[in-house]
Amino acid sequence: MSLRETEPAGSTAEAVARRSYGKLIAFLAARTRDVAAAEDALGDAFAAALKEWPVKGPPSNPEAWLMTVAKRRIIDLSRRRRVGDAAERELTMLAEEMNAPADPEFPDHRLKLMFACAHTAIDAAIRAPLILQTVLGLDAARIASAFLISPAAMGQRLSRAKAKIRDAGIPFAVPDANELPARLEAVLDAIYAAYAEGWSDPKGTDVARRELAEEAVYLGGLVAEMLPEEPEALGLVALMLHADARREARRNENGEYVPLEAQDPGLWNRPMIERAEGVLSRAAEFGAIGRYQLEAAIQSAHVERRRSGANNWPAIVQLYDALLALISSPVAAINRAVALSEVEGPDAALAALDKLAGDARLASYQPYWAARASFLARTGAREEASRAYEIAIGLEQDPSVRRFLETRRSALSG
Amino acid sequence: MALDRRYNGAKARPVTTLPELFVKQAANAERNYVVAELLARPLPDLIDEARAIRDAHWGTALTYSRKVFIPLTQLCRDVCHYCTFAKAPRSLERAYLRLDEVLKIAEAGAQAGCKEALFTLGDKPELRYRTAQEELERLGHETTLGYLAHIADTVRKRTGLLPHLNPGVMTANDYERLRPVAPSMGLMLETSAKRLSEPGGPHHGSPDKWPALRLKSIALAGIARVPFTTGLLIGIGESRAERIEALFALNAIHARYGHIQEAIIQNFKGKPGTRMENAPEPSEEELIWTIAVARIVLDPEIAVQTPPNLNPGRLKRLMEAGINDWGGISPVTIDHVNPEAPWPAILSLEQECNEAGYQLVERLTAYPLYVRVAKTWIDRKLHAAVNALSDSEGFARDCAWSPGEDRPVPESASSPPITREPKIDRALDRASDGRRLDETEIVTLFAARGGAARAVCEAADELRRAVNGDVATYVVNRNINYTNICSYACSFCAFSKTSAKAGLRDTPYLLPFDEIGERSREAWEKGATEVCLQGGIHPDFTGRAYLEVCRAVKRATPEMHIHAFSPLEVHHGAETLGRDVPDFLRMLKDEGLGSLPGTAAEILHDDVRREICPDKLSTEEWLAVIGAAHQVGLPTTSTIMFGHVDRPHHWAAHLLALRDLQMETGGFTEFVPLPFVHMASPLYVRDGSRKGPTWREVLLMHAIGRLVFHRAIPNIQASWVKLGIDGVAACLFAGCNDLGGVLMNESISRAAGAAHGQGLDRETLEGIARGLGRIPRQRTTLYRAPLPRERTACYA
Repeated sequence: MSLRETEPAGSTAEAVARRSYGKLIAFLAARTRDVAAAEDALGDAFAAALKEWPVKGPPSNPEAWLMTVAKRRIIDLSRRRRVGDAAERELTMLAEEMNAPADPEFPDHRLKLMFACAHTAIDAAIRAPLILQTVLGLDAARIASAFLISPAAMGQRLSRAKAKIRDAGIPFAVPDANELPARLEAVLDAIYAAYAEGWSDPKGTDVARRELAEEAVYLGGLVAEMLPEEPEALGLVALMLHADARREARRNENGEYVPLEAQDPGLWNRPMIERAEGVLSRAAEFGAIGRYQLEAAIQSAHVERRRSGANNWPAIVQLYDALLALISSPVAAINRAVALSEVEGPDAALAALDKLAGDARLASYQPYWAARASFLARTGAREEASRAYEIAIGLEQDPSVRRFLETRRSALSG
Repeated sequence: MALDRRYNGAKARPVTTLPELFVKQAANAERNYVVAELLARPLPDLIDEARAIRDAHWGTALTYSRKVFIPLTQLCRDVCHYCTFAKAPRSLERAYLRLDEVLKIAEAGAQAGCKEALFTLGDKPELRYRTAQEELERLGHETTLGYLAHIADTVRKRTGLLPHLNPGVMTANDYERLRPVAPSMGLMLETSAKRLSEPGGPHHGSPDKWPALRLKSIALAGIARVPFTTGLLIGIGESRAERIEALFALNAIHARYGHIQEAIIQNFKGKPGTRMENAPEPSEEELIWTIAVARIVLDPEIAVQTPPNLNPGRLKRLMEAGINDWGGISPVTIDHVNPEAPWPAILSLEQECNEAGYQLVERLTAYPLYVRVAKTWIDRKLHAAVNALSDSEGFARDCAWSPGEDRPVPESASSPPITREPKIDRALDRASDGRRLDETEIVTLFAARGGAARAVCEAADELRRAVNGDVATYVVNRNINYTNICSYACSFCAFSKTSAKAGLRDTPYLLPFDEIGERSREAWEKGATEVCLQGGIHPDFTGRAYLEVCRAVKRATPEMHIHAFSPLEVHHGAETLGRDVPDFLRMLKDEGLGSLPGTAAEILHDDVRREICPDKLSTEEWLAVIGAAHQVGLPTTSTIMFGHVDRPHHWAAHLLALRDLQMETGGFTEFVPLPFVHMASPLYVRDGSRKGPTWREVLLMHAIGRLVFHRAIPNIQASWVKLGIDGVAACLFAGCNDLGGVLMNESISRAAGAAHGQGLDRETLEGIARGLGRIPRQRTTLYRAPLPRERTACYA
């Protein structure tokens, strides 16, 4: 359910831009490794198209048209920048390549582009924005607003990253089988980071963020399509679909926060859950678990109550155990404690939380204190529970979640 | 009791949902990872880890079971290519051993000190051989298992040997049927590799060797709560990874049911006359690797066993690789499964263990973990038989000796060279500093065996020398058990009689008060400084009676020290007079009571009291009466009556309760261990308790008493009534400094069947002390020097 499908048909140029941007950039940058130059060239080609097409009518193959103009532009730009024999030789080669007749089905290099953007040499925090920009053509300002960073800073960081790709000679290639798992993880992590940014707009009123989540699902699908033998890519898609399916149920009609266990399964997007389960089943056939498959399986266990009326808490605990064996994540550890409280009771869950107490990050992590407070409340330690709720409330930025925690806290004395 | 909790009969649901599918995949991934890691690790590394696990969980004990081997039938429906045990019908006269033949083997074993009858037999031969079927019919049984149940039960009843059954693959019904005749059973998994059952594999054509079938049978044993022995047969064509898989499979079953007590790692031997005669045997490296990996993979509470007779010359390496058990060893029969391999003599095995720094410890067919929670794991019908053979930890009794029996104490306890163990040394050091040991430390001390037990006794002896020097004290006294009629029904007591009708040996009596005075006068004239008065809780007695008893003594002998009334009697007296305990104690003191015996303590742990004296004072009440006595200025002795249903952790709690009270009041004069005398005690005869403490436990109780009470209670007494003269002599080198009383009339221990005489004259007692290099010295009840009159009067 990507932006592309829902957007009302605009001009041909815009439609092509949405559909083909990443493919064109990837193709143009694959040889030169100069993403910025490819973007500039394609930007010029789009500008030309907007001028020419309304007058002359759109070409029969708009992608090929754009490609031809952009290639020429790249050669011009390079020529302007470079001098000397070596540069000349290189330019000749470049021109030959670029001038090769445009195949109407030119190869899709977007996956290579993503691997370049998520290369270990690139700062992990910028990988997701970089992919969003190069593969989807989102502009820096929109990405910046989604990631809560000033457009200027985002623009700078993106430029630096692109320069790094060019100067460090980061390859545009799908890594070989040895390297693939680790490198793919970085690509998937970047996509998931984009999704998480979008997901953190609970009300769905922030358009930039909401779109970001949808773009991330699209990117995940793209990777899964291009690497059909990688169950982790499927796992990520299933995870994002599962989460997205419950988007509407996260708030009630008054805009108040509704925790997962209190959500009405009737408000969940059933077709999307079915799609998620279908994708996850395909992943399961490979019999090679990974972080995203396990996280998706946890989501799947959470929505089991849609059918059975009850959560499969023991499976959730076991899945978190498996997940924690793969990644170190205090968030997963807290969620495991929550699941454990459902299986073995609040004392066991508190003991599990106590084991995490050494992690300094948790002291300022709201869900840690909220979970602690709820376990304490269930053991009857009201005062301690109340204090933990106080901390959680103090840490929470979302007023709706704050109100929810306050309700919980005042229920203690009742 | 983790095992109680862990046991559940739940069945696994089929994997249906996606989350469960991933749970399973995650488990597989984890396993694959572990397998790869184990396969990659160098052997010395594995050995180090395995040994560390074994040492941490099993200490220095290497166990074995003294057994006879009873090959009930050597016919088998399976055709395993390596087996010489199974025979074809024509080469045997009869298919099954007859009862008289079995009993002959079992009786010889019992005489040689065996405690296990190992029934190994072919798997369901009646399904393959007509002769087997016909012979079973003649014997009056439908199946081999039916015949086995009958024979095993008869062997146990006639000889006391505990059957261990290895009859092949069993069903849930089979387990239910056999559980009441055997405290443990077994089935080797051998391998979990299905391919070995395919054409060309050693298990081809043997229907009972399908791994899934065997794993299911092993799991069913768990559901039936049967302590179980299983294991791997290595070197029959399986890979290392397949062995690890098999260990995982066993572990998974154990995690669910908790019943796998041991896993045998048995190396294949090519046997003449079998199809695999010339197949290569697994190398020593292969065996060592498998043992180490088994110890690492399996739950540490599952013992790892390797038979010594298949591995002559490499026992030290087996120990290093992490085994903690040798399996069954027979002083009588050959190993019919590996007849070519002679059993090493137990003594030489013991020597090898000692040289490697381990102790050879005899266990029963069921491991201690299961013996200790027999209620869960062993059929009720077998509890008495198991208890009769076991010690406080659930191992086998290490000797035939029991307190009160007229046989010399075993010597072995003092013979092995002293061995040092860090955990024990730490506790000994802390005790010598006068610190309060904790329960775990005390339990560790009670677990000391062989050279380590000697180390404990030596440490106690050193403290005794420092505190008491070489003086051995005794008191001249007379016991007056003024009545044996008692309204209590303590199950350990053979002395009390509830009415004139009941009675095992003695008829009910109640001494008239004049008679009490008369006996006191007699005692005074013979030189006694103390009368010790204790009796049953007579239903007609009120507190008045106890006051009267004191008056009667004082009237007859004004200077006699009255040492009388257990806390139970005091409690009863106070209650019947409507007084509180301190008040009543003051009244008794005013009537001349000098001190109280700290008896009726039994075991100061309410779990034990509920079993052996449910209606008696609780731990708290007992301590309250004694504490009150100390407060009003009446010193008491302190005692422990041990070796019945109690365990070392109960002893530890008991000793610490006494010590803590002593630190508060200082009112205990001495500590007197009273070993449980079982022979006529209903607790043994009717309820099937243990047969009193073992000799090692007796020695340790005196020694550990000295250690725990160092700088708290200065005197540790050995009771010759219960231990005999040689027993007391040994205790004098294990922390004791006091010989108790030259008693006249001691009825309570004798009633329970103690063979040691009623009285011991003081010349004999002094002679014993001198013979041991001790200086005998008469004392009063409160450890003062007696007045000169009293000494001379004695010889008058």
